[in-house]
Amino acid sequence: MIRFSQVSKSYGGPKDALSAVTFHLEPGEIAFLTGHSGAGKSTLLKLILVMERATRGQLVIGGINLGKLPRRRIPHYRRGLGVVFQENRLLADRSVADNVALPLVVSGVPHRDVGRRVRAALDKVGLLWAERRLPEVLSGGEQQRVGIARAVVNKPAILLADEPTGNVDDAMASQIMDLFHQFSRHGVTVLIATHDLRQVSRFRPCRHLVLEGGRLLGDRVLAA
Amino acid sequence: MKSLLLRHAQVLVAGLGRLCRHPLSSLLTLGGIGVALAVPLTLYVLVQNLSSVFGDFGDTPRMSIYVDRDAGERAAGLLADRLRDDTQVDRVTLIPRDQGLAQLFDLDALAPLRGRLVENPLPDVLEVMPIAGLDEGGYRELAARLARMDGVGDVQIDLAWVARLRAVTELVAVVVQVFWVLLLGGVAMVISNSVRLSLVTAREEIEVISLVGGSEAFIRRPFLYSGTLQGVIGALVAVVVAMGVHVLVAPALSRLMEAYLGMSTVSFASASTLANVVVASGSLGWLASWITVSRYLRQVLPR
Repeated sequence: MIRFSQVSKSYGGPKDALSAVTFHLEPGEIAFLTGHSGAGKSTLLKLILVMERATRGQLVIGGINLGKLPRRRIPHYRRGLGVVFQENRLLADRSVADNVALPLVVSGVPHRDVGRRVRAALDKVGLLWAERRLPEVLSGGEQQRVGIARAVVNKPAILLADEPTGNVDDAMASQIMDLFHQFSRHGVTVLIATHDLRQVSRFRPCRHLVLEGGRLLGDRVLAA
Repeated sequence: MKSLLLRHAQVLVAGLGRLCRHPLSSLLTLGGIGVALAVPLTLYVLVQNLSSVFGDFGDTPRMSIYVDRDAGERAAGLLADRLRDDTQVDRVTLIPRDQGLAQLFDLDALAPLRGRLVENPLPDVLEVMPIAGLDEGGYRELAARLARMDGVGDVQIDLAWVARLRAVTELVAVVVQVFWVLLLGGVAMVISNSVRLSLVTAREEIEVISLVGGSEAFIRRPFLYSGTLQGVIGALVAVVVAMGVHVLVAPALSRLMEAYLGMSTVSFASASTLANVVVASGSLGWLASWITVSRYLRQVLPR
């Protein structure tokens, strides 16, 4: 589902941000990507999102070779991905429901279906009651769950998360991780970038990818 | 198709909402556009009025025919009748020599001479208004032909006046065109700037929409609408401003035209002209925002 083959990314500096990274995630697999800040986690996610293009190597996501993906096809490609950001990136002037609806609206989903699917997604993260609120009145953990609802409302085959538990307490972090595991059990490929190694050890089985200085130093399957 | 229309309608309403959310800056933008466009519009109305009057009178040189003094008293009347039958003559007014002298003495400078002339030195005069629409050579030929008629002493034709008037109207018309170009350019810049500001404010929104798969067309659409709306509403403001100016200026203009040309109807720009202004301004708003948004998206969404 996510296949990196000798992928490197250079920003023109003396050292590559990513250097010859190779790994492959199967559909429905859940993987944690760990490493210090600056190890290349964000760069790797940006490459999958085509916010950046790889300098060398081949990147095939969901059967699409990103090196050959023309610029105008990028929006359509991104609709097949769900993304959860560290700072949740909700739009402050829109209600929770409107935020969650955004991926549906940009894909041109008919109006009558939008409401139903938004409520289903909010229900899944336990925030149906907050539908009409503005994001700012919610706690950090709740906002992060709204972000997750937005990421999955389009029923993506791939879910990416960048430090999803970075700004929440432990109890909330566990809840959020539980959600990711649920999605993975439903066949979604989940890739979570985190520096929180405790989350990695809590859920088995899973993949654990370790980045260090732009290189993939570890790639192991943690058995149940 | 229906859902597409619905989406466009939603964006249009959202665009209006955006304008209403920042009333002061919207007001300044719309006011700026309005005042900028009111200038050429007012000038245009002025030129239109003047040239419509010139079209009636100004392009046609009057001719004065001095009747031969040896031709006898009834010659002037006979000549006038013959001229009235001429196909190239529109109107003829006879000014008998006594009346001419009386008019002369009405002038302050000549008043002291009244009663002191032994003999009236003036001839009978026929003021001839030729038909309109001949060129300069045509009027010259007509004057020459009239000069050869029996009983005609001399023909004077004032082509210089026509040339001067034409030159002035043409100059003003060019000035108006230049103003249109300059100020429409100004409108494009004002709208571009305002769209740019709202883009900067919406940067986070743009990035998020792009990351969840919004196409550039989707991102661009609300800004195109608000730019076009600003152009259209700005032009409507300009129409109102120009109407206000017109109401203030029309009486004075009317008096001027009455005094010089004997015409006093002053009209405002036609509905189709106003519609053209609104359409042009709206299109410019669309174009300016398209360019601005496209440039901005290339900056913030690097690939």
